[in-house]
Amino acid sequence: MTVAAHYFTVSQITKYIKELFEVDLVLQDLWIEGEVSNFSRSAAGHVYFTLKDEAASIRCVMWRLLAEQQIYLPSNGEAIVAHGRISIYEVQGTYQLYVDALQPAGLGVLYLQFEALKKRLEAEGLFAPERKRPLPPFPRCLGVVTSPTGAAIRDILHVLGRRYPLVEVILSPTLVQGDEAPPQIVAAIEALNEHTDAEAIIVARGGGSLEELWAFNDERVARAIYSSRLPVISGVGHETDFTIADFVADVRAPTPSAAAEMAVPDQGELQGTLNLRRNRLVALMRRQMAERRSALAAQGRALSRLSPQAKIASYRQRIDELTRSASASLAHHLALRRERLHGHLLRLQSLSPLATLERGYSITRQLRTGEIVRSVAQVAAGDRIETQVSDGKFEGVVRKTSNVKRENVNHEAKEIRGEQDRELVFRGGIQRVRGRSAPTGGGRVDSG
Amino acid sequence: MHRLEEGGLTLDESIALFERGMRLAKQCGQKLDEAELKVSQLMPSAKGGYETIPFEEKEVS
Repeated sequence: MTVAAHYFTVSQITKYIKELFEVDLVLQDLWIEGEVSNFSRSAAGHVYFTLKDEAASIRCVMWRLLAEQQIYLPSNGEAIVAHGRISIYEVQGTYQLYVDALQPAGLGVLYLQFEALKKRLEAEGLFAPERKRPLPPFPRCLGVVTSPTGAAIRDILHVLGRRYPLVEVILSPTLVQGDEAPPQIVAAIEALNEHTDAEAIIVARGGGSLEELWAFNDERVARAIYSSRLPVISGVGHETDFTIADFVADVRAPTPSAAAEMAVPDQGELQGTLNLRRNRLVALMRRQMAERRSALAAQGRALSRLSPQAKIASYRQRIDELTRSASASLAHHLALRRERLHGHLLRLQSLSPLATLERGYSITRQLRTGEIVRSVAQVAAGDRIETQVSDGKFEGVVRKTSNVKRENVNHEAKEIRGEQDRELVFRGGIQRVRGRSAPTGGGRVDSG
Repeated sequence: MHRLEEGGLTLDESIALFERGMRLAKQCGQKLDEAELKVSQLMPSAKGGYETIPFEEKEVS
C-alpha cells in the first residue's frame, strides 16, 4: 500500500457526493412510498421520521414551515407517500429525504392540498350561501374568462349563439393551466370588472386531469372570484369535477356549455313567452272593449229612458194652451176696448160743435183776427165778422151793438174765461164748453 | 299587462297601454329575430389600459 499522491478531506468528498446527488433530476423531485417509523418532532418544530419497507429504510426530515402547512402528519406504522428531494446531511454523512409534502398512501397530494384550502376558505366564509348573488335575467353583456383557443370558448359561444344571440360577449383571454394560469385568471376577472360593461362573468375550462384543472383550485383565483363585483358562473372541467372556483362562484355549472346556458335565457322560450303574453294582451283588450261596448249600450238605453222627449211634448202642449188662452184674452180685451172706444166716439160726437151747430148754434169770429166773439164788447160797429153754421160760413158787418143784462150768464162766462185752452160757443147767452174738464164742466154748464 | 288586468283605467289609458304592449312585443320579437352573437376580446392596450378587439374563433386542432 503506497501513500496516495492525492487525497480528499472528509468534507471534500462529502461535498462531492452531495453535488452528485443534486444534479440528479430523479433525486430532486420524487415521491417515496413507505411505512413511517421513529416519528419525532424537535423542539424547533421540525419533523423527523424514517420511511421503510421490507428491505430498506431512508431518513426523512420536514422543516417546521412546511410541516405547519400540513393538515396531515403521519404517525408510526402508517403507510404514506412523501414528496421531496434527496440530499446529503454532511454532518452525519448520511443521505435523507427533505420532505415538502406528504399524504396517506393511496390519496393524491393535490387532493390533500385541495381539501386543506377548501377547509380554510370555507371557514373564512368564501362559500357562504347568503353571499351568492343572482345572475342578471337578461344580460346585455357577458364576460368570459378562458383560453381563446380551448374547447371551452367554442362550446360557450355555440350555446350563447343558439340560446341568446342578443348578448354581447367579451372574452378576457387567459391561460387555464400551468403556473402562469392563476395570476392571469385573476387579472382577466379584474379586467372584466373594471374595464367592460359585462354584467356577469363565466370562468371556464374544458375537462382535464386534476393537475390540468389545478389553476382553478388556486387560492388567488378563489379570492379574485370572491372579490368580483360581477356575479361569477364557474364551468370548469366535467360534471364530476369540483374545484375551489366552483365553491366560491355565485353559480356552479358542471361544464362550460352548462355555464353558458345558465348565463342567459333561451330565445325560443322567450319567443314563446312573448307570444303568450301578446295573445293574452290581445284577448284582454278584446274582452275589455266588449265590456265597455256593452256598458255603453246599457248607458245609451238608460239615457233614452231619461230622454226629455216626453217633457218637450208636454211643454209644447202647455205652450199651445197658453197661446190659446192668451189670444182669447186678447180678443176679449180688444172687444172691450173697441166697445169703450165706440162709447167714447159716441160721447165725442155728442160733444162735437158740429152737432151743436146742427142744433142751430153758430160761431162768430172777428174776420181780421180770427178771434171768436164771446162778448159784445169785442166788436164795434163796422167790424167785419164771419159766422160759421153747420153747413158753411157767411160774412157780415156789425151795424150796432147793445148790452143784454143777464147776471147769470155773465158770471158763468167770466169764470170760464179765466181758464186756458177753452173755446166758447155762444148762442143767446147759453154756452157749451170744450177743454180739459169738458165732460163734467160741459155737462154742468149744459144743464144750467 | 298587470295594470290592464287590474282594470280601473280609462279607455284612453287602456288603449295607450295596449298599443305600448303590442309595440314592445313587436320590438322584442324583432330583436330576437335579428340578433347575432357579437364577440370581442379584451386585450391589454399599449397605453396601459384595456381595449376590446374583435374575436375570431380559431379552429381547435
